[in-house]
Amino acid sequence: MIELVLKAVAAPMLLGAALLAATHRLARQDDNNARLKRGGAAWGVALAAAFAVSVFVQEGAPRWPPAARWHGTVYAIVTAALIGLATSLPKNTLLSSSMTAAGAAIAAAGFVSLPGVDTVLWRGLLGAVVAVLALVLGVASRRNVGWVWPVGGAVIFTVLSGLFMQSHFAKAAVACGAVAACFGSGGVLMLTRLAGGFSVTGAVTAATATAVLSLTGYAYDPSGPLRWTWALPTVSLLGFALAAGGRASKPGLPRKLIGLAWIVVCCGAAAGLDFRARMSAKDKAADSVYSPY
Amino acid sequence: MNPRNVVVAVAVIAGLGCVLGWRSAYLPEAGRAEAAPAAVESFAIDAVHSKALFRVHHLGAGMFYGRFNDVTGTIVFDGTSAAGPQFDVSIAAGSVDTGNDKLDGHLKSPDFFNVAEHPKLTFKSKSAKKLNDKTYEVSGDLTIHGVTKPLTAQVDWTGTAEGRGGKRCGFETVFTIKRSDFGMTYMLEGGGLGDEIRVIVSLEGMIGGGR
Repeated sequence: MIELVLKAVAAPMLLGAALLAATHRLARQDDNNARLKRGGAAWGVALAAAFAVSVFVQEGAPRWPPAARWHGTVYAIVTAALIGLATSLPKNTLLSSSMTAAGAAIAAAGFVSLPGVDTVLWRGLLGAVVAVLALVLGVASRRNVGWVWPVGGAVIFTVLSGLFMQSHFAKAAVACGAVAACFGSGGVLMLTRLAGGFSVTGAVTAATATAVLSLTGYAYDPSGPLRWTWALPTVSLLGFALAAGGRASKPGLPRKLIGLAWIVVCCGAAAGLDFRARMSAKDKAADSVYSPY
Repeated sequence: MNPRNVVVAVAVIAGLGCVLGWRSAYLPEAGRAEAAPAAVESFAIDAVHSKALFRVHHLGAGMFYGRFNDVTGTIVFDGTSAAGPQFDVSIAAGSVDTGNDKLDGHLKSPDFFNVAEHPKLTFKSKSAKKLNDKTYEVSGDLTIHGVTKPLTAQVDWTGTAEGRGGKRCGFETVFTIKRSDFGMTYMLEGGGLGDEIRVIVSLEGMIGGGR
């Protein structure tokens, strides 16, 4: 187990942190390099790399078509990060954010085809959710939300990891743990001024990852007692973007705290309600052992 | 011969015939496996009296057993020909049962059987070779976790019988596979769970009758 944590959580986390730190160092060496100064752009690549490395450490080399349908999430998240990176390089504008959101939506709907939720309607819904989330979060990424970004991201992916663990999907739980750890290490680097801040690339990657992993949990948890709780991490990210983003270029501490509190409440509710429902279902199952058949 | 003795002899013979006839029709058929059916017949697998068990090395310590409760399919068999039986077996992956709900849930997840994507484990025989009166070497395709691999296993014919208004036949096999061959690699590194899985399958086929 320790070996698994080292290879599938710690190593991806260190990779993400190294990407963030290296990009930031390059940006500081060359003040004229506007691309890298905005380069919180590395956030998206770091998060996507952490998730992809964690999955493939556990599942083997990537291949197409994927060996399991949930591997499509990796392709969707990596594509979203690359689209975000490409469109954020020229200039971070509303147009580029919109293009990024549309690209991420197409990637999510195209790559993610999960059992039971693979109809056109479901995939269209996923694309729409990714588009809205990426767009709103992209706007928020142009505000200086500071430390609440990595803290909020870490909370969301820690709770997703916990939900996956409760639904017995350990590989996805470990991969989400790697993303949460990447948020955490990136936050530490930000606080010590060794990494850039929130960016549109990070926004679109986080939006795509949160939405597709929430749907993945829903798809592979058909007997889960409260499947709708899988939507709460996505709802929490949307609320965070609306609350912390706002119109001010540098939102005050209250707005940041409201955004973070929204994440904590939604994700806490998801984890708590799911845990309670599973314990209750288990009690009923235990009773049925003694019932006639 | 005295006509009276003739009548008594006929009556005794008729009585014996009736008794023997009743025995063959109604008594349990234990030990009658040799009385095989002559024609090739298709038996439906009796899900109640058929099981598939698996055994895996846990943490390098104990041997852990689980089973699948829902085994269905058909057996084509005549009991006499050298061609041997034909099997078309389907096992519901979601019927995995270890006696522990949490463990069952984990085995159904994408970490192991991925029931949502691969709801069935199947075996379809292609050929059979008679090794002796009770044993066949059966070859076919085994599909687990969406991966199909050829499999050859020795299958024991455990008997043929009539009872509960129908005809039945039984087979049992024990073979070993590597789960990594079927793309199931969770906890393989570090020896959390062994790679080799011993599989025990016991099938009862029936024509007509109830369970």
